[in-house]
Amino acid sequence: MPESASPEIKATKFKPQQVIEFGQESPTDQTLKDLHKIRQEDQKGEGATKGFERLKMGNKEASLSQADIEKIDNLMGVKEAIREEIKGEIRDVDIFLEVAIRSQRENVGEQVILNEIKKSGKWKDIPSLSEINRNALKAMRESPVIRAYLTGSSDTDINEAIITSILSTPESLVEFRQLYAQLKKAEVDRIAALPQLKEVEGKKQKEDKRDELWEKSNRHIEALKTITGLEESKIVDLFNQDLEQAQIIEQIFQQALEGQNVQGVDISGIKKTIQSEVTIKSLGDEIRLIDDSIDGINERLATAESTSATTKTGKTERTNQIKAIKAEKERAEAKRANKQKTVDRLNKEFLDLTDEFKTKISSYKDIYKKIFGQEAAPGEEQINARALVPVHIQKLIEDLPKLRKEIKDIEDLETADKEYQKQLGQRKFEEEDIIRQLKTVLNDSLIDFLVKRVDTMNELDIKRQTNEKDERFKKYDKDANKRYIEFDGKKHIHYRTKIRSDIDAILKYGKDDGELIIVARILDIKDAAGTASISDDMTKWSEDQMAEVKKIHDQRAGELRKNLFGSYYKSRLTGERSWFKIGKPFTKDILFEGTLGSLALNDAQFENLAGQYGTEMEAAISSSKQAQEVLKGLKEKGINPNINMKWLLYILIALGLIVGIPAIISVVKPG
Amino acid sequence: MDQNLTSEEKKKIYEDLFDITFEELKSKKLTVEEGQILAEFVLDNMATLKNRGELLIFLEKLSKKWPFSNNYYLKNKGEKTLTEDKRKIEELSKKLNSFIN
Repeated sequence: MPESASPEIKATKFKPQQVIEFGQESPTDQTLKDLHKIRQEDQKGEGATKGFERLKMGNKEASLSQADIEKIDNLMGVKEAIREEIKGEIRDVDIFLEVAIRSQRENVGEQVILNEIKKSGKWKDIPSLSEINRNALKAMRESPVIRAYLTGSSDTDINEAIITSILSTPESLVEFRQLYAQLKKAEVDRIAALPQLKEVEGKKQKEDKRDELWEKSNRHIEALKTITGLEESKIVDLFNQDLEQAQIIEQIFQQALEGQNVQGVDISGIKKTIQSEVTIKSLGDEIRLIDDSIDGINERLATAESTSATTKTGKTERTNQIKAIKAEKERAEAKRANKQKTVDRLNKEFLDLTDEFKTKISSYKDIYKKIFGQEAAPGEEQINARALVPVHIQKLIEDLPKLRKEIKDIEDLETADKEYQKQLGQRKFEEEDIIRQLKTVLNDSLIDFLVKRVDTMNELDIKRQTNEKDERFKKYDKDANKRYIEFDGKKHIHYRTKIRSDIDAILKYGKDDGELIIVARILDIKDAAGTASISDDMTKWSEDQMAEVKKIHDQRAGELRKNLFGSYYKSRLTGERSWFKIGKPFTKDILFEGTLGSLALNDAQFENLAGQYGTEMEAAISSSKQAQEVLKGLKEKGINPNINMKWLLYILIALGLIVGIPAIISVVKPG
Repeated sequence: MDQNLTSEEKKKIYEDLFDITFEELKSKKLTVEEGQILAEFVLDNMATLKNRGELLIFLEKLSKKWPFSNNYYLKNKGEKTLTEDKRKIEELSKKLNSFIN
């Protein structure tokens, strides 16, 4: 094979079991386990919904890909070196796990799997196998949880522990990979949910211009201040009110007047009057011009009239010329008369004004002139409608809103930028949190993985203990069942001595301790050496022995009584029971009446037992309909049931044999 | 007009559907691929459900695609009929009352 050829790719051959596990048919146990867990454990009550979301994923084992890590590039505020470090860790750990899982499952070399991963295009820029192993193990080794678990171990020992103990089987690798991938995915998915921000365009370029505009605007305001004598704030206020230019001028005029402590001025009246004066002056000038024009016309007329014509045509032309000049003169005179008429009217109006008003007008002429740009002082040099200072003010007023608009636009940009900066700050905060979380995922998933392992171990331990406990109970039950009567396949063997001995234990030690001793006898409790039986001596029992006896007694006391008394009854009826009545010879006095045999109990002993089990006895009899009927039947027969009778009934009820009672009644001695 | 579904009712429906689906998966009667399609169908439809009428339409479709959900559909249909009957009886009672009084 030529050296440059690609390494041979070995085709993956899955075993049938593996195919099933990859979920082509049935859900894997892991999938079912996941679904069940999601359904049960969701605290927000959305377990079923999340379960469906998980089911939608199918059996796919959670894994990561290039697309996941590329989302990290969108963390704008995070240094590239940090982003690359995290991306590298995710890629290397995921590949490390996949190689380990598949090489074990498919029983092929790790390099073969890595080559397949490379070929799949799932990741870009895949390092060498040794580099991946080194990086992934280093990342895991440096996790606090691993360091805590393996304190003091060398790097080699920790690597060994990770590979051979912690993540040794495909199952454990899959489980860990799932935790790791899910946690990482959850964090990288947060990136897409971050608010999308757009930087305010042109803000920086316009910042310089804004300063320039501010400067210019301030100069305008300063000029207005100087001209009008108004305070800066009042000027600024005017421009803040969205007024028309004319309105601003009116306001400036009014405020200028007010600034001179002139209140209640009829501004329109003053303006009208001043404008009338301006008009008078202007018309006067025009009249003078018309007069000059009329003088010229007169001169031309005189010339025309003094010129003689020699021809007929010449005479006609002269006549027409004189006529035209006269017509022109008439028009000029009419125009002058018209203007004079206006002047006379305005003069009359002015003369009709009060003296006070006339004084005011003369005081305000300066301001008016400055603001409105018109000259009203008769006799002074004519200032045309656009004098120097008024032109300035007009321009200022015209320019200022434009300047302010430009400034506002820039300030709007700044406001938008402030909002952008605020959101950027929030985003950076969230980005930092995502990075922090991404960095802790490996450790967190290792913790989760180990915690799950501990849980599993605990479950197994509990199961083991339960099994052991079950075994002890099974043995006890077995021994207890054959303690009194045993069937050897042919016949029942009655161990009357044991029955008697256990009943005596109750009679001797009382119900509670007596029953514990019986349990101990069944368990055959031995001393520490394991040789001598100490069942009958509670004082010698260890704490563990006492606990075990009590645990069994707690659950088997009812069975114990039923077995003991039932066996007593059966054994007593089977070949043992006999009734003796011994009287004094020749007299009717009875010397002895009762039963003989190993199980014979006298009345006092019956009384004792009845005292011990009185509560259980009464409860059993009163709750049994059949027992009640039996008692009733006995009474009808004239039998008054004594404690022994009740005791018998109790045993029969416990044994479920009460239906056979009529036969027994006949052998019971009436009380 | 059909009664609107509360978020609690929706949650219960999700749970019921998930539980019957899970049983099918567990007993290997439903394959993973089918489960994936079913999950998508449930999630897509449940997201837009508003009232009981829409729920029944959805459940009917579901039961046609996956017959194991038929009983659940019939149960809900029965409940709706019962509710409607109850409403009709109430209306009738009101009418009778107004007629008598």
